[in-house]
Amino acid sequence: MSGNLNLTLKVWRQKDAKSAGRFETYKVADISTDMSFLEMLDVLNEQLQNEGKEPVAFDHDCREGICGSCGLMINGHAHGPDRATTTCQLHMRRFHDGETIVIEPWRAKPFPVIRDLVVDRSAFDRIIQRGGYVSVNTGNAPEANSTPVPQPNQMTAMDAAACIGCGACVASCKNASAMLFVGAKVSQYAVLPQGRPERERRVLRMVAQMDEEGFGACTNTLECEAACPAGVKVSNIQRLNREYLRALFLGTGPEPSAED
Amino acid sequence: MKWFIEACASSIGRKVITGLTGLFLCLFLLIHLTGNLNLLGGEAKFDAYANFMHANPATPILEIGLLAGVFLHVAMALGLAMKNTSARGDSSYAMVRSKRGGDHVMSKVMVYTGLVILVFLLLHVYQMRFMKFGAAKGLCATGEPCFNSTIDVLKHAPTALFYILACVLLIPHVAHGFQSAFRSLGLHNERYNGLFNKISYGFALAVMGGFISLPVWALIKF
Ligand code: FES
Repeated sequence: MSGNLNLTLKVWRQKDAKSAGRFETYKVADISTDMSFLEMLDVLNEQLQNEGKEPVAFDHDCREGICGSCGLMINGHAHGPDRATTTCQLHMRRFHDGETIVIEPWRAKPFPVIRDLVVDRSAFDRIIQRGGYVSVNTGNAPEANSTPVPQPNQMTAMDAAACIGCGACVASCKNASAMLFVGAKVSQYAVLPQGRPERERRVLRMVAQMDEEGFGACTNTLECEAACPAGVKVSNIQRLNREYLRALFLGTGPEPSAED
Repeated sequence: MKWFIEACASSIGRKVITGLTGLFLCLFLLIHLTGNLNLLGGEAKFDAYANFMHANPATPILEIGLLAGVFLHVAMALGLAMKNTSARGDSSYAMVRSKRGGDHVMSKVMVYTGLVILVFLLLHVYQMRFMKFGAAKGLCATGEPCFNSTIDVLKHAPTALFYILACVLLIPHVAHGFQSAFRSLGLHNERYNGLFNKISYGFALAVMGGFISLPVWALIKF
């Protein structure tokens, strides 16, 4: 079909966490420009299977940009060249015929490669477990007017909660810092009344876990904001810093206390 | 209290300390420049200023404060740089490109500009405070009139060039560091982003321009 793409793919292949990885070069032909990037990888995998070879492992689930599983480093860009776009929402029309595409997994010490393009992002889960929750029993949906929330706070919380935990911030940061992720998670609670009970404890605990996992620290390069498929803003990192300092001077420490 | 000390050693704690000491050093730069501009006023004016500083009982205290500030700033920044380098892990990307565009280079060169500035600082303090440079008498550390010895240092071409280089490198260092410090302190927000950036560049250019003018003036005039 005319207008379809013939591409050369350089894909990171790695058997498991312990093995050394390497790039393999594959050719795919007749790729429709209407395909998503993941559909193009599906075509590659079918081809590999037909040749009796091992398909390329990559993470994906919803394929509609909301689950955050599909992170890939595409030609040096987290989630490919577009802004505010996940890999699954990236279309092949963004590439041209004859192009070589380099596909790598996220690289960060806290995100070890499990296989090929799949990394273990459970470090994020452990950060959430440490403090990314509210302990008040919310029960059934409450009457909306019983807890008034100013509209700007709703917007801030909602924008922060747009984070899908894909890890593109870590992947694109020169320091592999997770502060945009942690900033978003801390922010979404900090500005809402429901998040107040653990406000101080939460930020201290989540930052402690973030450091324990071995993520870097923000140097305000702002690459994370550009890479974030959900449009989470670096102002969340500033709020994280502010919340942290606030907790340091006003809070009673990372452990629960009667004074909270 | 243990958790409080741990918190100061956390990545945010260390960034805050780097930022605060950085702002303190920015303030010092401003004061140092204001004082040094007396050089342009000639021997009598500069020696009067030097005398005032030497006779001032606050000077040794400020010196210790500065030393502590520089030490903390360098120690925190180097610690963070090491942590940040190790966070990428063993294998780095075959290909990385910026989606942000713009002046992202600034934050990437902080450690390198910082290290050159540190070397400059050691040399500068040694030359101005502890060394008899050139023919002129007078040593700042002993409280003697030091206009001539200062000029001797500044008009020594290799020294002057290195001083100028250090000041040029300080421009991106201060321009990024100044606004970065406000971010680390959580004082930055979207409303002021543009303003903070402009102030950072303005401050860095103005202060460094002032410092650079001194060796340039000495080279031309003497
Ligand atoms: S697969 Fe769910 S966000 Fe891409």
